[in-house]
Amino acid sequence: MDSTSEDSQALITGRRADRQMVCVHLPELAVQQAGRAAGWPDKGPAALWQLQQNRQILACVSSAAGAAGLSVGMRLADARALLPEAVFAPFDPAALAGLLDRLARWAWRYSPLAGCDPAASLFWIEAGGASHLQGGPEALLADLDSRLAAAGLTAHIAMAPSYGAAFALACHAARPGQPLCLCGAESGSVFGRRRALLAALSPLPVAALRLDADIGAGLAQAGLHTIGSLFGQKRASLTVRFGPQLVWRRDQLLGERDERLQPLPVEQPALVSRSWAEPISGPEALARMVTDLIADMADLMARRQLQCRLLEIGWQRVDGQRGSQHFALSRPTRAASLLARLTADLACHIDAGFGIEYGWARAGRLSFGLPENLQLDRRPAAASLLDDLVDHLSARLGSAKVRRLQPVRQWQPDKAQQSLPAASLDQPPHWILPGPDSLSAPRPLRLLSPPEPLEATALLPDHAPRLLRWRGQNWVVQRASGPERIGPPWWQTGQPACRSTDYYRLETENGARLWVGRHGLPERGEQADWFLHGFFA
Amino acid sequence: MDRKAAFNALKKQILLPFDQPAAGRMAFAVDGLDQALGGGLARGRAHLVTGSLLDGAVAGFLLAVLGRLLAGANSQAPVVCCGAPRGLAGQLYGPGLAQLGFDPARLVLVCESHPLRGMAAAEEALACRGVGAVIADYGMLASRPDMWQKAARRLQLAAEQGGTTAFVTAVSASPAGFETGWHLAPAHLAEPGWQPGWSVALQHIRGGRPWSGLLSWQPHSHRFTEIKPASPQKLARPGRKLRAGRHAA
Repeated sequence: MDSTSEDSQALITGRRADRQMVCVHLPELAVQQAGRAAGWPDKGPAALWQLQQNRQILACVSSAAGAAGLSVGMRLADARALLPEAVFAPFDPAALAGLLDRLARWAWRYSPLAGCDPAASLFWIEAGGASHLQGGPEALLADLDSRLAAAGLTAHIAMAPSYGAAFALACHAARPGQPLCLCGAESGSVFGRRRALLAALSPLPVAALRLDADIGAGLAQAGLHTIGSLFGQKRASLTVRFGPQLVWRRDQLLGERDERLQPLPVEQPALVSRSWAEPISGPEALARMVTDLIADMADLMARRQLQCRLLEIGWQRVDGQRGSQHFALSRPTRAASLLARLTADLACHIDAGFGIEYGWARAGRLSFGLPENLQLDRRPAAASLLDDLVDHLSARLGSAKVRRLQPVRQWQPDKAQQSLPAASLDQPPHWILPGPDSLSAPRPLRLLSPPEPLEATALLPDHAPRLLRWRGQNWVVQRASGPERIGPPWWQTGQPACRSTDYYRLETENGARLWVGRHGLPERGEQADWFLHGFFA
Repeated sequence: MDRKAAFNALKKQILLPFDQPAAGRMAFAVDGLDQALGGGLARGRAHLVTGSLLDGAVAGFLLAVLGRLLAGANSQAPVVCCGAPRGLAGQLYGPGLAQLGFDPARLVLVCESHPLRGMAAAEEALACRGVGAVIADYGMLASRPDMWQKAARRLQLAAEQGGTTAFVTAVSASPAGFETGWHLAPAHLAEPGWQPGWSVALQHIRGGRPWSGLLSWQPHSHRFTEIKPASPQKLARPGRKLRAGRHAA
């Protein structure tokens, strides 16, 4: 469904001379955002790092740090050695994407077509047909630049007839405070404009073409360092040597090939309401109110081709008091039957007082959805039936009570799984199942959390226990395997005591299999605390 | 004669819900047990599994049965598990389930501590098509025989209508109204590995005969194997009578 929604709203840039693509590249946005949140000194050297293949690599550096020699792609240890006084912090891609999304929404003031590319720390505006409202392309760019500068952001801005050219110029040619414009009226004829575009793009490095890393390395080997050196090459020879992507990108640069961009979807609230001349009360009338509102909402969503994952039913009483109830759905829907089933008990819980004069329904978390085909030949998919069941149980029992297990990549046994409300999951959790020959350490079928302390007697301090006493029961251990040693997360600060745990799998005299742990290592002279952590099958 | 016909009609009416043929049977591939069950465990019925909370036998056996019951086309069908949020015996642990070949992503947990609401949720789940099996862990209801029998009957009817298999777990409970009643206990298998295995007692079955023995299970091939006990007295509590509800005492 996502692909259909993208298809319906995608902007396809092609051979249109009147395109005015504006790219705003904000190379320091992430570090500026982190610095403001944490209160770092302004203009001081700072850098953000992220893990890449288990190495800490700089992902974003401030201009002061860049001037001192730090660069994106450098290892964190090298950067610390080079510039000890700089501030280093982990990079948060989600926060950057959120901020770029907000910036692109702010750019709706210039044009309704705007989007962002978090990987390049960039947002774009399609200002064709809208720039005259600002007084022309140059005035638009000047306005944009002054507003971003006033907000304290370092912005590299460029406007060109194609997205590829605007991207290349913004990322590799534009300077802060000097927006580049290749769409001005003075450039004259089509040929003059093309010549100006070629002249502006030729000195740029090939990295501006958005190529895969191996193609970039191949071009460097071949001695093709600038875009200008590519313009003279034959299409066929480039394709044979570097694959089709290079020629695509070169064509997209000049607007000779289509490029698909995804603008931000424009959200309109979905709201229906009903009011009555006489206040209504009583269970039948209230149930009628709910069903009418849901029927109106289903109609509205079907007309607009929308689906919702959140439904709010609200009402206002004669004395002005308002109430509302929210229903969450685990998959987007607009089926009136499903919504009616969710809200079946609602009418009994509304306190109507002296009567209700106004009621509304609002749909949230909307997404685009084509009308469903009538399924005449087969039964509805089992997954959707399960989603309906989850929604129904969540609405009846409370969403916190219907849960699914999600794996967490943690060594600590009690943190290795997380139980989450099923309605909050967008996708079913993904577990990796070990095969029959897997060497993974044994894990119990039922886990006690928190673990239960027990008394254990071992023949030697670092041996498996022979006698257990728990809740008044005595168990004689017949066989044991282990230990499996699990260390504490010592790298996390604020851990009170770092004691490792040894886990044993024990079988008692009557055959019960237990997972028993010893907190603290006797060979280090630590106090040993035994506990029962789970039961095996 | 007239009276006999009326009596027969009445009998038929009472037995009507019982006469619906089971949706199929799952064979354990263990000769004695399958004969005792009349071909295998009936699908689309409610089964009672009792056993101590302080070992993994009940959960392990249920998992083994589910692994066999939902093999093949149904192998990704979700399993709804209703129970009190945190029992004495801990909670189901995903990494352990995965090691036994059961994908924890298929589990939908309904954490409802009120037994009647939980049983109602289990009924809803049984009515939902696409659900592979439903487990209800509300053994505490068994202390109220009237409620227990009503809940058992309702679950059995819902399972028959939806064609989904239901399992009810309890420490000890009356099996009246269920298709089968099992008692599970941990057992020594006298084998070198840590293969899961239990002492299984089929104590109640409608139209079959009781059975008890040691079963071990190969998680990845979904196969049960019967193991002859080394010495008869080692078999944990063989053929022990189910403790019926208080009303029977």
